[in-house]
Amino acid sequence: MKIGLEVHVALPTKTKLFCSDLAYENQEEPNSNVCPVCLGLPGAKPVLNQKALEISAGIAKALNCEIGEKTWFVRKVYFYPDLPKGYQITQLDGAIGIKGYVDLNGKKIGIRRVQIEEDPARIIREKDYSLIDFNRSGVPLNEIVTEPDIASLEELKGFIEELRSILYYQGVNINQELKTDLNISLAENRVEIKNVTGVRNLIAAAEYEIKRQSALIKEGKEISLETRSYREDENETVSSREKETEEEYGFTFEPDLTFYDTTKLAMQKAVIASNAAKELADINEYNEKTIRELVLFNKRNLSLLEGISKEEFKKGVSLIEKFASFGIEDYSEEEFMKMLKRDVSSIEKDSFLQLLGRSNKTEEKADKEEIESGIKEMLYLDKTLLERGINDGKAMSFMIGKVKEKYHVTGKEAADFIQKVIKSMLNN
Amino acid sequence: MEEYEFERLLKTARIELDKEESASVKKDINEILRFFDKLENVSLGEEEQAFHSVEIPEKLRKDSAENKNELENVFYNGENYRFYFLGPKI
Amino acid sequence: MTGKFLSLKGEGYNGFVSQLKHANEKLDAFNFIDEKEKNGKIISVKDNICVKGMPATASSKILHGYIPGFNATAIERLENSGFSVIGKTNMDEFGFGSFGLNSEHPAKNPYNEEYVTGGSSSGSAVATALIKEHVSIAESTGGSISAPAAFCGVVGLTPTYGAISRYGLIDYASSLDKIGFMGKGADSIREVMEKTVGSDPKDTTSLSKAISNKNTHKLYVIDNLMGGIDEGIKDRFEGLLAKLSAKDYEIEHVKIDYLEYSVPAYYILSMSEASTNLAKYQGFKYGFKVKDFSLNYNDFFMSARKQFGKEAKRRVILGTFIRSKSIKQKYYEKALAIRHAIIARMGKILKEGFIIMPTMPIFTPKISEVSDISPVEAYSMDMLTVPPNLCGFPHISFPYFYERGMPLGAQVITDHFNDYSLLDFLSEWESGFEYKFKEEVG
Repeated sequence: MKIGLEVHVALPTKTKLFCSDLAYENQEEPNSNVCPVCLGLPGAKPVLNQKALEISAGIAKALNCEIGEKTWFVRKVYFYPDLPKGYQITQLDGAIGIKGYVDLNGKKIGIRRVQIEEDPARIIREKDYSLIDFNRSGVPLNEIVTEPDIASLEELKGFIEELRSILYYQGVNINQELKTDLNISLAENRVEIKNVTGVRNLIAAAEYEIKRQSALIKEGKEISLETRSYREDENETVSSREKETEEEYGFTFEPDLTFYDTTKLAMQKAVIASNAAKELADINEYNEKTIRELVLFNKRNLSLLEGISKEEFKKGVSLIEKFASFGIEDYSEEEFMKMLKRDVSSIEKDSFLQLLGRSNKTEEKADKEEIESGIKEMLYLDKTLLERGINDGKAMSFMIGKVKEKYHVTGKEAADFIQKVIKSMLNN
Repeated sequence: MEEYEFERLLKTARIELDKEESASVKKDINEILRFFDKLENVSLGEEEQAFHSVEIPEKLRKDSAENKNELENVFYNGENYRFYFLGPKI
Repeated sequence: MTGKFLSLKGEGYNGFVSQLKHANEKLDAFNFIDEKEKNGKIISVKDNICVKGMPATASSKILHGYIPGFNATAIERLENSGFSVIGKTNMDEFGFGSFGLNSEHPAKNPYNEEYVTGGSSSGSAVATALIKEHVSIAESTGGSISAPAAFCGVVGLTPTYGAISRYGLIDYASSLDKIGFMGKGADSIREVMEKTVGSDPKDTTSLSKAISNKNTHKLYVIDNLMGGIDEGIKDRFEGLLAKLSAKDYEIEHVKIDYLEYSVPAYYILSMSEASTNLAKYQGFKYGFKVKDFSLNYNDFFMSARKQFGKEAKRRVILGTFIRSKSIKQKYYEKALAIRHAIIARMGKILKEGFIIMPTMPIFTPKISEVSDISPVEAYSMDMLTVPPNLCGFPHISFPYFYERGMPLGAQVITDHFNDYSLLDFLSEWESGFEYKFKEEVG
C-alpha cells in the first residue's frame, strides 16, 4: 500500500501573502478584508510578505528539507470562480524546501516539496449561483507534498500527528482544519482524493478507500486511475471529474515577482554559519560546539578565526572567549590581531583593557534587533531548546541566562525582551 | 496542430469559437507556430534564461496592515448579495 | 528645464473640451473624455492604465463598464505634481497590435485619415499630435510607443523596464510591459518622466536605481537588421545618418548575433504571459457581465470570453498552447535563452554608444493596405521595435523627415537606466530640426 499526501496549512501571519489585508477571516462581514490585489483586479500587483517567507523556511527546515539559495514562484492557471486572477501564485521547481523527511519511529516518510502559495476565496454553493467571500483570498499557505511512503493507516495517523507537532513548534495554529489531497494505491493505479477537510475526515476517507480498493482486488477487478472526492455525510468516496492536468496548468515563472534570496533569512544564516563553523573546527581539530557558539553569537568571529593559522587557532579561540568574558563586543580585526600576539591567558580585565588601549567603560548594550536575530538563529539551530523552552521554566531561564551572558545585557528589561522574542517565535 | 488538439486547447483556454472563426484562427495559429519554429535552428548551448530584462532585486513587504492598498468601493463593479460577490454556479 | 503644458480655466476649459470632442468624432483618439473642469496641467492616459473614477477598458469589450477605484502609481504621482487627466486614449485591445486597428473604433492618423496611426498606443499618439503642448502617458510591450509615435509624427519615449511602476497598468505581458510617454519634445517628456520614476512598494518589479544621462557621440547601425527594410526608408535613413555625421556623430556599423530571432522570441514570451494575464476576465466581478449566474461556471466563463477580439483570442489560445508542459521547452524556454543572449550582445554595444535605426521598416501604410494582412506579416513589422523592448533597453522615436505630407520616425536606443541621455540627444536634434505637427486643439 502506498499513500501520499498534499497537506495545506495556513501560516501564522498577520497579513496576506501578497497584500496588506488581514490574513484571518473576518467572520462578521464577507469581503471586508480585500483590496485590488486579492480581488485580482486588473492592474494590481503582488508584493511578497517577508514573514510568510521566513515561516515557510522554518517549516521546510523542520521537515528536514534542502533549501536552495533562491526561491521563486509560478503561475498555475485554472478556472474556478473562487480563483480571482484565473491563476494561483504557487511554487514548483523553486519551492522553498525539497527532499525532506519526517522521522516516524525510525522510518523516514519523504517530503517531496514544501511550497508557498495563496489560498483561493471562500465559495458557497447555492442552487442557481454561488456566493464568494474574498476575505480568504490570498491567505498564505504551505502545501506540504509527501512521497508515497506511508504504508498503512496506522502510519498515516502517526504521520499526521508528527506533522502537527512539527507545525506547532513553527507557530502554526494546529486547530485549523487541514485541507489534504490524498493519493492511495493498493495496486498499480493511483487514486487521488481531492480536498479532504480535517484530520478526522482524512482518516475516514483513507479507511474507506483502502476498503474499496481491497474489495476490488479481491474480486479480481481493476482499479482505475481516477480522481475521487470524499463525502462526509455518507462517509464514502465518489468518482469526480478532474478539471485540469499538469499539462494544462501551464506553469510559468511569475513575472510580477522575482527571485528571493533564502540565505538572508535568520534560519538559513544559522545553518550557513553552523556549516562554516563545523568546517573550521574540522580543519583545526577543535571542539565543534564551541566554535559554533562563538560564530553564532558574533558573525565577525567567523572571519577572524578563518584568518588565522592552525598554530594560532587555540589561542584565537581563547582570546575571543576573553573578549566575551570581559563584555567587549566591538573589537576590530586590528585589535584582535594585536592581542593575539600577547599572552593574555591570566590577565585581569583592567590590564586587558589597558593593553587594548581602551578605558574601563561599560560596553553599550547590543542592539535589540541583533539580539532578536541571535536568539532566533540559536533556536532554529537547536530545536530541543525551543521545545523545552515553552513547557519548562528552567529551560527558559537557562536560555535567557545564556543569551544575557553572550550579549552582556542585564536587568529585567533584557530578560523580558528575550522572553518576548521566544514567545513570539512559538506563538506568532 | 491536429483538430483534437485544437479543440482541447480551446477548452483549456476557455475560448469558444464559432465554426467560421475556428477555421481561420486555426489556420493563423498553424502559420504562427511555423514562424516560431524558426527558433529550432538556434543553438545556444548553456545560455541562461532571462525571466526579466534587468535584474530585479527582491522586494519584501513587512507583515503589517499599514499601507494597505486602497479601494474606494469593493462592490462598485460587481453584483453582490449580503456582502458576498455573486458568481456562477458550481 | 521644464516643459510647457496646457492649463485652462472656466470658459477656456469648456471651449477646449468641446473642440476636443469635435476632433475626436473624426479621429477616435479618446475612448473617454472627462468633461469636469480640471485644475492643472493637462495630460491624457492610455486606456490600459487605471485612473480612479474613469472607465478603463484597454479597448476591450470584456472591460466595458469597468471603473477602477484606485489610481495607477504613475498617475497618483503625476496628480500629486499638478497634472490632471483629460481622458483615456484609444489603443489596440490589451495592447495587441502594431497598427491601432484591433479596436472597436480604430483611431485615425491626424495627417491623413486614410492612414494607420500605428499601435498599440494609437490614441495617445493622435492625442499628442492633436493637442497643444501635450504629453500622453502610454505603454509599450513590444513597440507600442515607438510605432505610433513614428506614424503620427510625435516623440515617444519607452523607459527602461522597471523604471516606472506598473501598479495600475492592466497587464499584457508582465515581464515586458513598460509605462512610457509620448510628447512633442524633450523638455515636457523629461518633466513627466522625472515625476513618475522610482521604486514603488506596490510593484515588486519597479526599481530604485538612479536614471543617468551618460552621453555619447557614437552611433551604431546594426547591419543584420537592415535587411528587411523598405528601400525608400533605407534611403531616407541614410540621409539622417549623413546629417548626424555632420553634427559630429561618429557612425559605426556592427552585426549583433541572434537579433533576427527577437520577433518570434518576443511573441512567444508575450503570448505566454498574456494567456495567464487574461485568465482573470470571467464576466462577473467587473467589466462585461454574463447575466445568467445559473450557467455552469465553465460555460459562464466561455460565454464571457466571447467578448475578446480576434487577436486576443489568438494570443490566449497560442499562449496556452506554448505553456503546456510538453511544449514549454521547445518555445518558451528557448525564447527565454534568446532574450538572455540578445541582452548580453546588445548591452555590450550600448556600453560604447547609442544604437540608431528607422523606427518602422515601411512608410506609413493606408488602413486598407494592412487590414487584411496575416498575423505573421503584421508581427514582422515589429522587427525594429521589438529588440529594445524584448531586452528592456530604453529607446526614443522621433520625427526626422516629412515626405508627401507624412512624417518618418527614427529610433535611438541606449543602455539600461541611461534613459535621460535619450532626451539630451533629442534636445540636440531639436536645435536643428523643425517639427511640423498637425495641431488643432488648445
